[in-house]
Amino acid sequence: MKVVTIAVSNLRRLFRDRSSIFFVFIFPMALVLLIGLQFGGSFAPQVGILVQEPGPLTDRVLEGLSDESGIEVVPYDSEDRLLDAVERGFVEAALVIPPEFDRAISAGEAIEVGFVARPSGVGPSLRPVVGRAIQAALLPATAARFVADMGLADFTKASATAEQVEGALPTVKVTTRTVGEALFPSTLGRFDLGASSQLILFMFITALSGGAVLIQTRQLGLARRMLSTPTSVRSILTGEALGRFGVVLMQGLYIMIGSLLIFSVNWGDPLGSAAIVIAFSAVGAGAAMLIGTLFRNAEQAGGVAVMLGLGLAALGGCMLPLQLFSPTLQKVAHITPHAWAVDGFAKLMQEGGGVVDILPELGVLAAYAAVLLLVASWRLRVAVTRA
Amino acid sequence: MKNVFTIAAKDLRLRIRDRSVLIIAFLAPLFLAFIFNVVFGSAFGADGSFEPALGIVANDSPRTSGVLEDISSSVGGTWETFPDRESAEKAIEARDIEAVFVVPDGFDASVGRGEGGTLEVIGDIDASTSTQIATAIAESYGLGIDQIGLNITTALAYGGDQPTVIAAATSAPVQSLVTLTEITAGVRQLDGTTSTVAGMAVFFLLFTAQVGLLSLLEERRDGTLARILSTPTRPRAVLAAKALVSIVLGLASLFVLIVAGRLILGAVWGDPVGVAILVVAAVLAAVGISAVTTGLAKTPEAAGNIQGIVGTVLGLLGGVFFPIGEDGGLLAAISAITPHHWFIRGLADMAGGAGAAAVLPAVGPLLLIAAVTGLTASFLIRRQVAK
Repeated sequence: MKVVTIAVSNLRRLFRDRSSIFFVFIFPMALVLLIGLQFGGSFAPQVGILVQEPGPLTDRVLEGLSDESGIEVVPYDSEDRLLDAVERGFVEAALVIPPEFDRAISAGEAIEVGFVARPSGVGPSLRPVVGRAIQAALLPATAARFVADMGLADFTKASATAEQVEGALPTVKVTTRTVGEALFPSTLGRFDLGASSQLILFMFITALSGGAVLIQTRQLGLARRMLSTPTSVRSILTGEALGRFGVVLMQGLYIMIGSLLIFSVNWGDPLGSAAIVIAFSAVGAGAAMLIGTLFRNAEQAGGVAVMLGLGLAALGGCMLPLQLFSPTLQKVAHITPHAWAVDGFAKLMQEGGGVVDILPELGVLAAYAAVLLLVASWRLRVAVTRA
Repeated sequence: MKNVFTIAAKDLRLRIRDRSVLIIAFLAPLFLAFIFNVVFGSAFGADGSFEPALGIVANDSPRTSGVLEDISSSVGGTWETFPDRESAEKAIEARDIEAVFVVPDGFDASVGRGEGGTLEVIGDIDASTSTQIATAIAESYGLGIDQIGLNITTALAYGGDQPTVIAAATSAPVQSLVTLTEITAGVRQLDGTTSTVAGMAVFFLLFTAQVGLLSLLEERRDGTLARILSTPTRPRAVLAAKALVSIVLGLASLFVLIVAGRLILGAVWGDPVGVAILVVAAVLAAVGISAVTTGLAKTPEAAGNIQGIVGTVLGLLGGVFFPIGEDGGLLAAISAITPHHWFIRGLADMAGGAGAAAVLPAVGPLLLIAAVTGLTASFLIRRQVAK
């Protein structure tokens, strides 16, 4: 009973501070939204395009470019802005179609089209992609120019003929297919990856920040006062741990249910995802207790909470998917509990697995929680009784 | 004036003795920059260059193979030859290459007879850009062959002499109507490492910059402010001393992070004078913002909490963690009110080797932020000190 009272009073203290409400409830959801908007779409390199004067040939080039599945075409309205976008990395490459494009080609005159790419990155390699679209649009015009140069007919007439015969000729076709297993299944929703990684990131940061509250408990003399009542050290420690666990669990379930309702995130097997959230909450509670014993004041603990919270999350695959890590780094990543939770969610959300499939991940998380809680309560027992 | 320095020196000593400022000013940003650099560098390559790894299966079509290889290497690709499709597919699955051209037997002969043919591109499902580039290269080559066919057919339709037409169409390269001319683009984008270090430095700057001012509220809580004011020390001097501590800590933090970023992580900063100007402007803006949050709060805890929210949200919107609203739109406009955005942009403007003057467009907004927040804060805080 006392254990619960201690836990609840801890919770109450945390939520009286309005910034906690912001970081526990508002900020994570805002971030899931922002990341979904920013990264949920395609990863195709963007090619900026400047059309100064529309015309049928220009339109054909544009259509050809838009049909390319591997790039995303972004229209611009001034050359300065377009160049700026290339130099600042907003687009990888750009095409500047001059205003006299249609007029020149229709008269059979050669013309220059500007191609810009930043020397670093994918831009220079996109040249054939852009060139292909222009080449395809100008097949008849180029043939007409050839005929005119041979003195067989004038350009305009030859152009019309070339357009007529174009479709009837045997051509070189290109078929493309892909092999291998996709890193991310195509069924993965726009917000799914962001939601699961933010869930893990925030649960851990919230937990570590809770470690600072533990230091306050000692500084405010609460621990000493509790000890002067018939309350055992064990009850105090269990209560404190339960308080941390409660906060983190509450946040985890909130993000999970909230993102399910607002962003239709598919969390997979509900039992499995709940099990991960519970196991990871226990890891968080253990880490919070440990942080609470290691530092002298709340400010120090707060700084370390942000540092470790963000650092472990990045290393554990909450900022960049683990699949994109190098093989060595993937091994290093699994030092963090985060990576195991990420793996667990991947099995549930991407592979349609159930509780049984994630038993190894749950086991590792439980082991983390047990070790952290044991070490922390041993250290804390010393700290509480001495203070 | 002497009082200002006395108070500032005492505060600085106190702050350094309490190690929390060392964590947020130096340790946390450096540690996080290191981790982010390892994680993101492992996925995207340190220098950001892009080399499509391509290969070919073309046993009896040396002409086609030669042209495809030329185009591929012209866009910076690597090249490997395979005896058959199976070995090529294995190489893709082993991630040795990203895409392969499969030229069917007798292709050169078939297109030589004007009968067309089919080229196949097989790509790694997760290397969509390289697969797209390979497809474009193959299609571009195919269009060149189609063009010759169309040229000949059109010329023959106008009664051209067959041997002459064929000789003219095949002996010289096709006269293209469009040439893609390279427009040179500079680089105004930071490389991955530098942008990570800069982002973390300016993110934590907002927290470091509050440290000095926060002690105003602490002194008021502890009653030492009243004692200082009972001596012939003007309130304005106390305020100046606190702001001075914030400025000194902010400058020290950025200076150390820039030097350490260069020496430890290999960040590349531009012109030192330009960097220095930016650093001073960013510190003033950060101190201005934290002065406002301090002025709004009644207790040091509340001030820290407000600053936590303001600093995190501004950092996120300023593009410290991932690029935000890169080009145009509402997010871009919001991002432009953050000092983070302008600090990073100022550095990026020098990335291509531009001189110190290139930072001035970014320094303007930073100083504007500093002026507006500084004025607001001096009004807010004066009211507080008088209370």
